[in-house]
Amino acid sequence: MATEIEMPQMGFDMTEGTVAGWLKRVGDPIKKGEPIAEIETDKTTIQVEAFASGTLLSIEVEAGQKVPVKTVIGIIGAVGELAPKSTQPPTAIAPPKVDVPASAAALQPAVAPSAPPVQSAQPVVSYEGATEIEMPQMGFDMTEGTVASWLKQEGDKIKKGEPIAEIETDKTTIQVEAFASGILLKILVQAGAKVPVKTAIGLIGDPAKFKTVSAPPTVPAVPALKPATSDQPVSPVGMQVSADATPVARRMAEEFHLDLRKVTGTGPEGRITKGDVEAAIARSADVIQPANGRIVASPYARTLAAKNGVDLATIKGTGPAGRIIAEDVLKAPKTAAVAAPANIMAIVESKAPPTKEAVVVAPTSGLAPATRVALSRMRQTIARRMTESKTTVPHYYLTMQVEMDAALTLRGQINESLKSEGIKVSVNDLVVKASAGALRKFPHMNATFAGDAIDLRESINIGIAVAIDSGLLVITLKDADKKTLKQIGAEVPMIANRVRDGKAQTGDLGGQTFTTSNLGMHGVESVFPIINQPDSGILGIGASAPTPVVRDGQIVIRNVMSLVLAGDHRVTDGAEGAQFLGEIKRLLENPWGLVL
Amino acid sequence: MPEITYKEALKRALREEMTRDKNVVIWGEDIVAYAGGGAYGVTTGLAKEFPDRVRDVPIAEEAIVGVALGAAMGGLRPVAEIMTVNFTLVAWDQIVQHVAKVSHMFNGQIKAPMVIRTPNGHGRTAATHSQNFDGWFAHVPGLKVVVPATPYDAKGLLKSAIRDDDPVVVLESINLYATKGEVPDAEYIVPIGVSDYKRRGSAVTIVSWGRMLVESLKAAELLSKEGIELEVVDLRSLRPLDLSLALESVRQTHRIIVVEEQMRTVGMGAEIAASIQEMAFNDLDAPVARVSGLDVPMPYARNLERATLPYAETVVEAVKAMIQKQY
Repeated sequence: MATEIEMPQMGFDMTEGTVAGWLKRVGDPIKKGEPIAEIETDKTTIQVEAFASGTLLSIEVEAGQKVPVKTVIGIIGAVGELAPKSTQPPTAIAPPKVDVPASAAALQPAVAPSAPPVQSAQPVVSYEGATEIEMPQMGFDMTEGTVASWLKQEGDKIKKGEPIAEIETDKTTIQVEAFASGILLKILVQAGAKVPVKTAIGLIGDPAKFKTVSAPPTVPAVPALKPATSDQPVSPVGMQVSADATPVARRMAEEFHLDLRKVTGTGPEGRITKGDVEAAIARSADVIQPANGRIVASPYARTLAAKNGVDLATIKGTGPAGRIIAEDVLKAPKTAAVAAPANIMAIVESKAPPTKEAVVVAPTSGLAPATRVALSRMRQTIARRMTESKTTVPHYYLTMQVEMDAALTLRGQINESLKSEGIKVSVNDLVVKASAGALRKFPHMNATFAGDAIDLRESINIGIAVAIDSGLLVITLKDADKKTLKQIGAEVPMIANRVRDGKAQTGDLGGQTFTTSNLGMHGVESVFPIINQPDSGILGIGASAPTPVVRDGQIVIRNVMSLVLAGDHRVTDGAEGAQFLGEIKRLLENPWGLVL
Repeated sequence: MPEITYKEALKRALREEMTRDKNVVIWGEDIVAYAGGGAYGVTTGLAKEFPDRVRDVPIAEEAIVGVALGAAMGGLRPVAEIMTVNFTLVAWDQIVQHVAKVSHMFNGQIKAPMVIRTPNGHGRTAATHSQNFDGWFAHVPGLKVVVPATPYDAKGLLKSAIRDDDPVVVLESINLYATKGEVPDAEYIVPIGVSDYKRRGSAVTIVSWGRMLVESLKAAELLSKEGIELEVVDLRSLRPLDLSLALESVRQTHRIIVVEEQMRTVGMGAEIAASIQEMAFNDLDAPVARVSGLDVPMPYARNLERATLPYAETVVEAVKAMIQKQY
């Protein structure tokens, strides 16, 4: 009897493990107790021993792959007893039904400041036997994302947890991981297309069980999947033969509106055969497709046409009986108008891809010559968002000097005590913590202007602007008011590193309620930032530098830092901003309040 | 590797399994007395090597199968030889009602580890002796059905059949008995229910088994000269049916033809074509096609028999019809 080798569970909290390597090959004899494979968990590497003697019949999970515990990774048994790969009839199990939401509008987060335009009549498509891969929502203010690229192709095997596509948001590029194992059945949103969050961008499942339940109504050119003719040879037994044409020939002629009187029969007694009709259709220049408007194309040709953005109505079929076959689609020029598959709510961006190529443009009307560089997606986003904020939000600016000596001393002591743990609290962390504390007292600074109302945010999530090679990102420290300086000191660099490495997790980006921007490390004295919508305020943090200060009539040297607060005047006024800034100053100059 | 005939490969499988397991016995008509090895000579010489275990039985197929089933339930592993597939009809009640069902009706407490070996197909013997029952056997749950096309698979599948705890029907192709192929001297088996690529190509996928597999390979040779490369999948077993390679292949070629010897209507080809279009509809660039025998009682006249059955040329025509271009 065959024995299955399972991914062992070492410790109750182990949920998955990686097959680090196989010590045996398929066909190798195995003794009970012998090590056969090495397993890596997040904690250690161990050897799996055989529970039974026999021959290693199959390796189900290759080295390098991660699977949940109890997954069968190999099979031991007697030669020949290995179960066949696929013996079940294909219709054995009814696949779960998954419905695609009918309208993208329902998916827009309620808090979205500006929802993208959405097509009004959405097709209702549902698939059976497939799991949808959705455009993920990374942070509550993300409303849409762009499929940057597919890492897998249709037909590829997918393991749960494997990265399958790269998604670009306004802020970053992240990888989407598969929630289920199976075959990538369908790519619904091609690379380059932008869709609302939660939109199905692909389907994973078992091809044997997969089917599209209803066809999208948005492609009038492709109304029916049933081929209009049958090319199957027909059994000669029981065939009713009429005087002048075979039934198949008659049916085919009818579908193609072909006048049988104009066709010369080559069958017995001059009977018109299917071949005669096919030849007549092929000869006739104007009959490419049936006159009733149906397009005769193979299922695969339709698949390809949808994928490549080819309009089937514009091509001539060269297959049997004029059927459009895959080859015809591949030879056809792409029609830009149908660039995305029609059965999704794709909002196709301008086709110009962001490119690093620079072009020299000719000087026009007195301008000096320039080298034109295309905008990266991030540059486009920064340009759009900053223009939007600066032109629509009335900013007021307040400046305040903060003496940082006590805070710096405390920071030194804290870092000394955290040395063994490898955690360092930065000046910025102190300001973040102080801002969080002040925001609790001034809810208007932790708010969003909502047209005819003000939304006071419940959580205090501090956004921290981080410079990266290609631009600027704002990472988010959630519930900053509830976190200790030690937690902040540990968390912020972790989030920043994840984002810089392109491995941002849900919540790392977006969802901030107040933002800080620090250029102190560059020696900048004062930073006058632009509000990061939908926030109502942003704090610019300058350098902390020894400065002569008048104290009790004496000039003394203090470490002074300049803070600049920008506030949304629609939400909050200068006096409130001043009190808020004063509270931050108080917390930083009496820093024990930040620790206690 | 040494080349031997399909028939010799079967005999070696029987000899090896009889040597390995003393419970393996062979019962059949004329397998001892008639030239010492049955009508087609598969068992020639085995009666001498295993005197008590190779036995002639009366001309009563229902009894042969019934007795073999009883012996199997009692612990032996009988191989019942039915002289030709046509005579299995006489034993059809035993095969369908008892052999296939006994284990299932007793909740697996009783096993029926027996083999029914029989030559299947056509051979200039007219309507009642020139038939192919692939689909009939494959239609019976409880049976396993294997249909080897090469000497290698014939030996490996027969050995698997003898070792299997379920009843297995081995449908041997009369027309392939004399064909030769490489068979290693070393011990091996071929698992039941696992299909096999017999030729790789990219133009059209052919799914076949038994004699038509060999004809399909001939067709592939002919078409290759014209630059058309067929991919040929050998099912090797009809029950359980492994369509995984056929599906894998059609996702590359997008065109598939099932090539079978038996009559077309309600045949294996119909089952396979239906399954393929269910599982790979969007990958198809042409309707799933079938090459089959005609739905007629086999005529005796040579030219008419020839017109009734498919051959390599029939496959070539079907492939060309499928990929023909219309300009």
